[in-house]
Amino acid sequence: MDFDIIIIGSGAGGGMTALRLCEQGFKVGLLERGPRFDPRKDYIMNYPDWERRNDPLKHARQAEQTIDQDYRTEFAHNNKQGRRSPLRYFRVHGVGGSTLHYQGEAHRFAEHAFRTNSEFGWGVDWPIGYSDLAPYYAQAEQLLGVAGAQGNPFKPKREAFPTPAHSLSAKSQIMAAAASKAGFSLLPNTLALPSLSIDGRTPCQHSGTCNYGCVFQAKSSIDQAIIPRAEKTGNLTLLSETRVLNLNIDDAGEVSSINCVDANGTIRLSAKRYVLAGGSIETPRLMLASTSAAQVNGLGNNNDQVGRYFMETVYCTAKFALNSDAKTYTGPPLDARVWDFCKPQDKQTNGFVLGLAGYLHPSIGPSNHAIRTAGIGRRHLARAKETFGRDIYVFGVAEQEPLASNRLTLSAKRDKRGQAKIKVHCQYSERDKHTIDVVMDKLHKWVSQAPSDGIMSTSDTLRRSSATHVGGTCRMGNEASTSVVDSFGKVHGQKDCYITDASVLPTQGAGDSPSLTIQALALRTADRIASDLKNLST
Amino acid sequence: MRKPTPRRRFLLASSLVTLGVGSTLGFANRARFSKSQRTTNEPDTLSSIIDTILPVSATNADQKGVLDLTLDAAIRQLAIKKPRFNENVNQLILIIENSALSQYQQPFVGLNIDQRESLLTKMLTQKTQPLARSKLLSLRNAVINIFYTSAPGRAHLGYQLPADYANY
Repeated sequence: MDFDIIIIGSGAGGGMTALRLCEQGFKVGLLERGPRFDPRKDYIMNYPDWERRNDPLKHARQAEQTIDQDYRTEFAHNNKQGRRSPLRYFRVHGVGGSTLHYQGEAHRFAEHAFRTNSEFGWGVDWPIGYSDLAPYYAQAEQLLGVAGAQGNPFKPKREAFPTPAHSLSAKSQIMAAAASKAGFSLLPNTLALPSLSIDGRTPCQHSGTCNYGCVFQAKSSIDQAIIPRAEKTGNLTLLSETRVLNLNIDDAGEVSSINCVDANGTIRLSAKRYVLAGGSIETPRLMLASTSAAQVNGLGNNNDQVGRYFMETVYCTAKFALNSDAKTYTGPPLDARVWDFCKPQDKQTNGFVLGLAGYLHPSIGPSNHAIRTAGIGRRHLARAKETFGRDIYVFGVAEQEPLASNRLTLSAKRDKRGQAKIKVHCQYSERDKHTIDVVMDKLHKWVSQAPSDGIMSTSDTLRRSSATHVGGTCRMGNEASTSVVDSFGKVHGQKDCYITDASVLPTQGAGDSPSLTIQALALRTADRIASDLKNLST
Repeated sequence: MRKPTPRRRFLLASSLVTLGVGSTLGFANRARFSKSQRTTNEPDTLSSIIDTILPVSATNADQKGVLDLTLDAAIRQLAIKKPRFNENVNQLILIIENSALSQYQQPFVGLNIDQRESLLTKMLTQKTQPLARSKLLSLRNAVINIFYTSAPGRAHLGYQLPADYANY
């Protein structure tokens, strides 16, 4: 099979790239390692016994990741915090990628988030600014039916959202009052959970179950909002359950084809252009594992930049229970955010946002909640009812300082397919550690104003690692000596290879969720690819 | 005909099930107590234990008319599928009956609700008989799981499964 463009990975970046190119008449091969899920059959929330079921999205997350977990030992060696938990790399293998389990956060990065170096003296400035990306943000939002409200004083001025903001859930109304007392403001989140029907799909039903796949098909995950549009063009060939093993590089150093494996065995595919969209770990892994005489250090890695500037998710959380029955699990799980600290307050602290989450995960679902409630009989019945749906988490997400020494390299260990695993080398800077302290302090102040008996437990990523929003590793920049792709996502020194995933992010947007930025960048890169191919044919 | 109260419906269903699949469980119970010792509408020991663990009639959940499968019937069906669970429950019934006779000089079904709850709570919190505790905990968790994954259980907590939504 030959295509105009082959895209590896069908998540936020790959899916959006595919749509834009299909709409412009190009034949696109979209490769996805995981299956195409049937939301009405495969997702656990269809079933009353969901707490006991294996979540197919979760199954695809940790166990199948090609990460050498010796990472935690190395981290512990350099930290006083003791042995750290394994890197919890939350990725989904499936058509739609991690948008299958994301909670729909659709954030435009703030203007200052593109200029951390010139404004705050750390990190790096992007080669593009907010104004370059704004039109693509708008296009992505339109495709996703993003719900939101204008007037956020911490974000750039903007046009109206495609669908109106969701009204704040009961939990967020309570926590908004607490935030106000603590001196900051809880505002409606911007969410790819359409509040009105788009494309004939059901609007968000506020069931709070985004994390397990939307059984209403309301959430604008890539498989729902984007893939069907691309399929309608007749230009998309979607190859699910097809894993890319490596890219073949010719004598000139260009990608000539890719080797994949599916249920029937190994196949070789070729195209005029190749787009890597496997995420911040799999994309550099593929590049490092694809070598030739012309590219001995891996694809696009002549300057030893592939895999560098890895950024984890810097995250703190505090769990507590509200004193009133707010059914914390209903409503969009992340329906409000605090952006007051998005812009760094001083030279020592990274930008961060605060939020609250209330959703049922299996361990606190109806059955497990009742089982965990002590006792039997009438008192147990009453107690189970009284305490159900009151657990709530407040959290803070900060960006991690991008450091060249935080990097991914190929491990000597191999996965089941014989592919080299990734070894993660990552430490927090003093700035990152200080930011965690600041965030945790804000969380304590916030909860102290809430109607509750206080914090039950806390956690942070210095102790328990998290890779919900990873970035870097193939970062965007003007100089090949300090970056991997140019400002349009094209790999430096390559004629035919582009990247449209979180690996291109130079910084992490001051704690905002990256998916909308990945999608906006993907649209922009797709336009560049289309332009390149059109120039090729004329 | 007068509509059965929730409690009556519960008992009717459980006695029907006892005649059928219920023969797997409660054998030890019936061996110890002849029919002449039981009143007509008296549930067997297992049903009584289950109703003590989770007094579903106190939830008002089944008044909505959706409790089609009684808890003891569900537990008996589970026991048919899982021989080890069945064995545990049979042993537990013996232990509980012995405790009831020892503490109150009455079979478990003859105790009032306070006595039954007290007996099972003590068994659940004591540490000297870990096997008895473990068997009771296993039954307790199974009963709770069955109830709270059912529509009445969800209704009791005010929880709505997505599949229960009008737009599902």
